[in-house]
Amino acid sequence: MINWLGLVSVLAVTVGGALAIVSVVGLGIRLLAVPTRPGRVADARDEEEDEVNLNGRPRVATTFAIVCFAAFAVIIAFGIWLLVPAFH
Amino acid sequence: MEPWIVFLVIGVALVFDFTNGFHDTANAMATPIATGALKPRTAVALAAVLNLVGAFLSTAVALTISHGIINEDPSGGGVAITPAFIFAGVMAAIVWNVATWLFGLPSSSSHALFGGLIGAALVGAGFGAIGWGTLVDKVIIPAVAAPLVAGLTAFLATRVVYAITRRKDGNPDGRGRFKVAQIFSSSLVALAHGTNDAQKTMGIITLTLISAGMLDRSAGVPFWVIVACAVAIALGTYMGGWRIIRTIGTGFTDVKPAQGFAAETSTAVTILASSHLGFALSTTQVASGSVIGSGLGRRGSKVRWGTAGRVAAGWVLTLPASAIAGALFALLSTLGQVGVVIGAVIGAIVLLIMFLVSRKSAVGAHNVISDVEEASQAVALKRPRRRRGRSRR
Repeated sequence: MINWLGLVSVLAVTVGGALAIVSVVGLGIRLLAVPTRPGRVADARDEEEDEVNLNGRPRVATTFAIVCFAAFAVIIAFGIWLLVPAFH
Repeated sequence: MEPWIVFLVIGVALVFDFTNGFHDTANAMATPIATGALKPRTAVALAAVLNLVGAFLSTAVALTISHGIINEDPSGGGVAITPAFIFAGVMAAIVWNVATWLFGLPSSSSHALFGGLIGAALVGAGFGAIGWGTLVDKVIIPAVAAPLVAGLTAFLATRVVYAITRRKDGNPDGRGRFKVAQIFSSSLVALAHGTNDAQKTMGIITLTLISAGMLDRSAGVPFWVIVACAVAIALGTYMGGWRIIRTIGTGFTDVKPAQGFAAETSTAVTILASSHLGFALSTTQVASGSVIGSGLGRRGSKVRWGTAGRVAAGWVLTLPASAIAGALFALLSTLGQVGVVIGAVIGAIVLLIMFLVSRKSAVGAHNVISDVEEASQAVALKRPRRRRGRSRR
C-alpha cells in the first residue's frame, strides 16, 4: 500500500521549506543590488551579471539584506540541528 | 567461522563505504563546482571533511542489514546472515557502483546494496526470503517519488529565486552572489550524506562481527568501526567520482549560481523532510531530480533529456543487475570458504579491469568542467571586441 499521506506531507514540507529559503536568500541578494547607477540605459546583458555598483545603495536596503542573511544562518543552524540526533 | 573470513568481509565492507563516498560526492558538490562557487579540489575536500564529521555525529546504527526487505530469520524461512552472505551482497554492490561510475551514472549505493543482498538471499533461501511488499514500499515507490518531488521543488524554487532577483531597469542583478550561498546549501547536503550513509557500513560490519560470534548483540557499534567507516567514506568522497560530478554538474543542463543554489536547497530540504517524515528518499535520485527541475525552471536553459534518460535507465537496472551479481557471488560462496576467496579474487580482477578502462579517458579535477571553461573563454574573447567597437564611436 502506498503511503500517500507520507508522500504528500513530504512534498508539501519540501516545497514550502525550499521556497521559503530561496525567497529569503533571493531577497537579500536582490536588496544588495538596490539602485545602482541611476539613469543607466538597459542593454542586452548576461543573465548572471554580477558586477554591482555599491555606491548609492540606501542604508535600509543593506540592513534588510543583513536581516535576510541572518535568517539564512538560522535556517542552516536548524538544518544541522535536524541532522544530529544527539540534539533532539 | 575462521577469523580471516571475517576480516576479509570487513575489508570488503570498507571498500563499499569508500565507493559510496566516491559515488556520492557529486550529489553535494557537482553544482558548486559547475558554477565556480568552489574550486573542484576545495569542493571535494570540504565534502570529505563534512562526511567525516557527519559519520561521528550520527551513530544510531540500525542492526539490520536490509531494513525488512529480506527475512533475516533462518528459522522462519529466511536467510541466515553469515559473513559469506554479507560478502556476496556487498561485493556485488561494489562492482555495480564502480561500473556505474565508469559510465558516469549517478546511481543509488543503497539500491546497489539491496540488490546484491536480494540476489544473495535468493540463492541462499529462495523467493520466500524476500519481502516483496516491503521492497515496493521502501525502494521502488521512493525511487519514483524522489526525482519527482525534488524536481518539482527545484523547478518552483528556481522560478521564485529568479523572479525575486529579476530587475526590469536593466541594471546588474548581482546573481553571482548566489555562489556564496551555494557553499552553505551544498555543505548541508554533504553533512546529511555523512550522517546517513556511513551508518550503513557501520551496521554491516557490526552485524558481521555479531554473526561470527566476535561481538555480543547488545554491545553496540565498536568505536574502531565508527572510525574506520568515517575515514573510508571521507577518503572516497575526497577521491571524488569526477565522472559523476561531470554528469550532474554539466550533463543534465548548464547550471548558473542562482539556479545551483535553488537546486542544492531543494536537495537538502527534500532529504531532511523525507528522512524526518518517515518516507526516506535516495540522495542520488533527489540530487539528480533537483538539477533537472532547476534546469526546467530557468529561462533559456535546456535540459539534455538524452543524458537524463541514460541515468534513469541506470536506476532501473541497479536492482536487477546487482541482484544478478549478488546471486553469482552467493553461488560461489556455497563452495565454502574457498568460494569466498575465489569471489574476492574475481571481484578484485573485475574492479582492476574497470579501473584500467577508466584510465583511457580519465576525468579529474583538471577537466571535470572543461566544457564550462571553454564556454567562459569564448565569452571572454567576445567582450573586449565589443568594447573596442564602442570606443571607436
